[in-house]
Amino acid sequence: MTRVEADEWFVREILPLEAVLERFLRRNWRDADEIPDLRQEVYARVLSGCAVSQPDSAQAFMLSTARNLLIDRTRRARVVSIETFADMDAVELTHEGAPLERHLMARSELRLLQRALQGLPPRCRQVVELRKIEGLSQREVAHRLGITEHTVERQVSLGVRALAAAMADTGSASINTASVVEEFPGAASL
Amino acid sequence: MNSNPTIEERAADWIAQRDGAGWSAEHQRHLEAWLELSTAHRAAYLRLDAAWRRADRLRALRTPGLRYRSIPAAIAARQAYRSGAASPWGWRLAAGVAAFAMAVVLSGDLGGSAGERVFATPVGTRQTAALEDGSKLTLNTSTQLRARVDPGERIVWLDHGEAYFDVAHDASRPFVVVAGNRRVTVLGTRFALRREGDQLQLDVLEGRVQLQQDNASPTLVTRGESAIVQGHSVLLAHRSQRQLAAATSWLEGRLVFDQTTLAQAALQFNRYNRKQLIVEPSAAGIRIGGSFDAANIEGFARLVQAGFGLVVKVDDERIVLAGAQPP
Repeated sequence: MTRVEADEWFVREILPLEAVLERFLRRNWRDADEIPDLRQEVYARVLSGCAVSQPDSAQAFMLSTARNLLIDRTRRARVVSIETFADMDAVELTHEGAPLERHLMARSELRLLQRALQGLPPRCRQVVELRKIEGLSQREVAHRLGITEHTVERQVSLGVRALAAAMADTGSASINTASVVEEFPGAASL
Repeated sequence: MNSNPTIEERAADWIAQRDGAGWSAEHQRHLEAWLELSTAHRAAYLRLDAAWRRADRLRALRTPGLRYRSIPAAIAARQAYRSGAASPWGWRLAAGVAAFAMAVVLSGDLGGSAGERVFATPVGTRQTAALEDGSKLTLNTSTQLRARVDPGERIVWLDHGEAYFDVAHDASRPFVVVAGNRRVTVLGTRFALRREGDQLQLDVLEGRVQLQQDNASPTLVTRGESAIVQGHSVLLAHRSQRQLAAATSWLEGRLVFDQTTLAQAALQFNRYNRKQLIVEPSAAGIRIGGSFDAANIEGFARLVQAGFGLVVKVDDERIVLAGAQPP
């Protein structure tokens, strides 16, 4: 894949599975504070990896990348033996979201976004609403609220991250993760 | 604890800055340099950018303050043609199309109402028209639409066929396309619309488009998405750049196929040519790919004949393709 194709594939196939990834990481990694870091690393590896060859199944590729990362991290910790990971191979990686589920996701997306919006701090929420619902530019938002464009930028920056996080959290409702996620035994014995 | 929250913060800052009024080519170069630095940067940026674009759907929550008149009223208000509407049109011949056969119908059984212009293309012709507001329409083969642009509103009725819309931004006058009982309200800029029987297909290349059927709640279709409407169902699908390019390849007079059956390809060619391509069941399932000149139906037939050993019969009106006879 070219880089543009890799980026597109990543946005189209991998990002919608964020809830699946989060859940896999949470189940199999003890330290919740490290989840954003692990997710970031999985994404970077997937993005580099898919440029070499396009995987057949996005979800299987992403979860096996995540598994390998957890194994690497645990090995580096030099606490557990390799046998601990034997069960990892049994993890079912190939359950793909059916096309139907994706369309359902598109439909419930507005509700999901509304909930994410409600979770934002008031000022941030106000800025995001003016940008995304009213369709104002950042400059217009600044005028409307009587604040500087720099302040608007800061709130947008916060809003972008908060929305991304909220959508991954609540997105789990529309994906059946129960059948794909297994306990990773290594985490418990660390 | 670790450096990654910083990468995420940086990526979010880039997006906020990029959306600001002060963004310049210089900033763009800095952003690109930052994205080049590591795949983690790129991943974080793509993730946040995708989330931020998904949030465009929130636009659907906007209190409807759109200032267009109700569409049925506009259609009902058919009046005799007024001579004031006969201003000259800036027609431009699209490259590669020899036949200029688009008509500007000023009156007659189409019942064009005041200030309404009718554009039509015969089979095999593609034409581009400019509207007074700076918007550009490209009509594909065998298409008819009517347009009215006045100080209060911009309306196009797609009677049948397919058109590509490059809509000039004007927040005070929404651009509305009516296709039967479906209505497309343009909030952004570029999209293609195809009406065939009861089915309507919308491909959004840039910006946002609101799709509404009768009085049902509207669906927001954003960049890189297609909506297919059939009956009362709306199917939303994400499209890659390549798929969107293929869907609008007709703008260059090309048909782009990828794993397309010969039967489906023939349907496409037949939209553009008087001479019709008939594919016998013995050859219908053959899958082909590539980019073809939409007007050159004979050339296409020769190619598949050579490529798949098909039997070709040609008369004045038809080209019949059949599978090779068993020995």
